[in-house]
Amino acid sequence: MKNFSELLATDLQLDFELKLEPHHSPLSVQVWMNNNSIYNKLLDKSFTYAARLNLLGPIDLKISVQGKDYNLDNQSAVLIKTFKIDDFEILPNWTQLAIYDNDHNYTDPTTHLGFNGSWQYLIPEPFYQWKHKITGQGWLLTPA
Amino acid sequence: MSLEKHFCSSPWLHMRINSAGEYEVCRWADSKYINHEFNLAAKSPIEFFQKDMAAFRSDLLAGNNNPLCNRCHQMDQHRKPSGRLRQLLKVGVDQDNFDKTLKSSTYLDKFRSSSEAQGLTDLHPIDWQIDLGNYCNSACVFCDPVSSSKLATEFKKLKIIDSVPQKSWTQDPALVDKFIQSVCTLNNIQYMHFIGGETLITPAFKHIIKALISNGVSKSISLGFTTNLTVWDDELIELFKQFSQIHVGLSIESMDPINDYVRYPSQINQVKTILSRWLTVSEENNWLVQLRITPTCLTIDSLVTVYSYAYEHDLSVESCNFLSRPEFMRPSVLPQTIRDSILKSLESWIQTHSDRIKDNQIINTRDPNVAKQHIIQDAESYVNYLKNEPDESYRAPALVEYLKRLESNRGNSILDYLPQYEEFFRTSGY
Repeated sequence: MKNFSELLATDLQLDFELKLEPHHSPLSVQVWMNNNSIYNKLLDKSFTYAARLNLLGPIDLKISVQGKDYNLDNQSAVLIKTFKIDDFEILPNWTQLAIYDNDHNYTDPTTHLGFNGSWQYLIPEPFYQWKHKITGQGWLLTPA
Repeated sequence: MSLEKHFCSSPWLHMRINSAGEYEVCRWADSKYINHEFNLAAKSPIEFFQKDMAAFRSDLLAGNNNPLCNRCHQMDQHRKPSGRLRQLLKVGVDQDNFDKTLKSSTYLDKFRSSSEAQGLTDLHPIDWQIDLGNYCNSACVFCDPVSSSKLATEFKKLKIIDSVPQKSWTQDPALVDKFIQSVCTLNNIQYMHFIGGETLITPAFKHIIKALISNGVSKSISLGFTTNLTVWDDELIELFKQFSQIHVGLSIESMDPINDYVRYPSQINQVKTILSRWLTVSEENNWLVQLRITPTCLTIDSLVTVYSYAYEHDLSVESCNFLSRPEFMRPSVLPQTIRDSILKSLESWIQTHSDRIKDNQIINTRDPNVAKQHIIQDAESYVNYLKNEPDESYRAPALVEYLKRLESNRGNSILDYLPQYEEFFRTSGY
């Protein structure tokens, strides 16, 4: 960019990438990206999703696993293999910021979704402000 | 024009008051280009910040290469975290992803407003550097009369100057009161950094500190200051405990006796004792400590002694810039043979600590968690400097002439401290 006006006139977006894989047997999975369903069926092979997102908008990824019968199958799971934004790998370093709400009350940070329930990752502010904070870049000043 | 290379958020955050009470747009600005038109006596700092810095802000928004920013550009060139990069980071802008992070900045709306209003802003400064004057018990060889009363007296005696600098603004109680009142009117002050002279012995420093405590400002700000490791004041230590956070800058050039020659008339053993006391009290109170260095051609040879100490104690090492004045004291004055020897020493030191090297440049130099990586990065910046800065060995005779004049008054000799440089000094007129 030559100057600030040119920057303001340029449309910039975030590159989002998600990859899920089944482990053992297929499970019923629904995935929402910012409340839009992007996948809703049995996960019998790997699922890759790429999208361009608003630079300043919140990011809300939700993965729901349902219908697992623990009496018949206690090994199957959905694996989150990739979750990155603008080449910034969110997992595994920041897995602990996800909320994993499941029927076994399992709360440890994980990318291995082996229980019925939902795994949600919410970035409630502009991605780069969030990244600044979680990567420990020091003060992030805001105008009074 | 290049926004990425030249833009800086500093004039939306920061300003400086120099020892004469004059306003300056930036603590890192190249003093050769600073306009000293406005001062504390004639104008409020907020008015200066909002209106008189507008042209500077406009220039940065236009992506222009402003000469005031020369020092930061030199640091960028040698991959030393510049003031520009550090100020950008404070508003969320990362040089490695400049466009997107600038457009995501917490200050984007303020940049936009200034862009639409010829650089004007409604902001108040939130980061101040306050120069208290030149009252100092040290006469460092690289310093100047504006920053050291002891050196000013010596310069006058040696007829290097005709008269000592004018009184500092802190010697005028009315201006000190005006300054304190101004601070109390700021709506978002976060950080104030005081320098001298020697801050701890400057009477106005304690007065201002007490006023900031009694006005309640101390509870919400981080207080920073730089001290020369020759004095200690228990009362000030107790006062510091009443601030939200303390950033202590400890000036030292070497752990060897050359420090005594350069930071005359300090005594390295006493300096080390006081350094230890600061580390202890800072650990007790969770204060941030940094070693502040000003590498010159006389001390860059023993820079690794400071790096080693800092590495051992998990302290970051910081210099505001590469020394620009006095020109004859720049490390680039050293001849190639000496440069090569220092390069070898620095590179060897880096090699032995290479497990700590990271690819990404560390900009947040105040993060104690990455202090060790930052030290290595700082060492690398001096390797880059010594490899790439143009040869200025033609300035060596001026260096020797200057040192001889000081030594005629001090009764010491650089050869007692740097015998390995004897040939260099002799061939330059020593």
